[in-house]
Amino acid sequence: MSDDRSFDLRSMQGCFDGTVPPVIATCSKNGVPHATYLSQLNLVDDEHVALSNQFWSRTTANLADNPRASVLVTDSQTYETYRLALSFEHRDTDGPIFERLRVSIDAIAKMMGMEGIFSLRSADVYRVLRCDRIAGPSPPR
Amino acid sequence: MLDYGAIAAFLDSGVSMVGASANAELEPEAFRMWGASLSEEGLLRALVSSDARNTYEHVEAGTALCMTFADPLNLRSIQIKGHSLGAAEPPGPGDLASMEGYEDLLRPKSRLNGTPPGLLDAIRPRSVFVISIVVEEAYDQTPGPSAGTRLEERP
Repeated sequence: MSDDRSFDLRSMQGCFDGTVPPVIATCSKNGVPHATYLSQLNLVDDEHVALSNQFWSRTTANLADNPRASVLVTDSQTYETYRLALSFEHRDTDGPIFERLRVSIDAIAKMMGMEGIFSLRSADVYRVLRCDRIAGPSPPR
Repeated sequence: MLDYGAIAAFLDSGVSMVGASANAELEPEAFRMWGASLSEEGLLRALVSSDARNTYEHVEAGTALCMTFADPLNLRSIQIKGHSLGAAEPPGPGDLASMEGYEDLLRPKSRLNGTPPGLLDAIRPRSVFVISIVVEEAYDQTPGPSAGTRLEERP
């Protein structure tokens, strides 16, 4: 499992404001991939992010068997897109990370007229193993 | 039996396209697509952003793939799963025309949902490769209680 520490999550603030829906991919123990949109990625610390878990029955089932995940996220300020390689660590259903995401998800739901549908089930915390810039206004270096 | 015609019509309606593959170590890779077409026989030709290097390298005949398509205006979403017919291929002239046609459909919808034009330009792949897959399963992925329902199981 590669672990590239040459990234600075704190310099990617526009990735964590919920403006551009990220995409998460997981894989079952049988090798079947799964891809779905999520509402928000949240910065936890220099090495961890939390993802909003609202409807993810398949994603949750996959993570129970295989903690690896891949996320595409676009910075709303710079328009740069990153692919993050993640490893699932734990799931919060209360506490400060969950509350921070819940407030944000509630605001997104209200803005989209989807209150009652966009309801946060958990804040899933992942360790960031790798972060690659893959697209943006100028070609990736 | 899946209603390939209905899925094809959805793909041709200006929807966002993302997908995933996984390598032998079960490490997934999420990717963006810039156009896809589905035949009446359930053969899907997907134009995958070339930044998905792992996918490009490990896809071969029989590789499992997942692709999710979402309408940016109402969030209606369909997910398909299937297996690749072979390795990734370079795009042909028809595929490049398909990319332009896809963008012509997506851009007006993106404008209506408030996506800045510059953002769409930034996420547009600079190049693509082609993956052909046989669609075997399809699911409603629209946010809400029906998410995850197999399409052919619906009344």
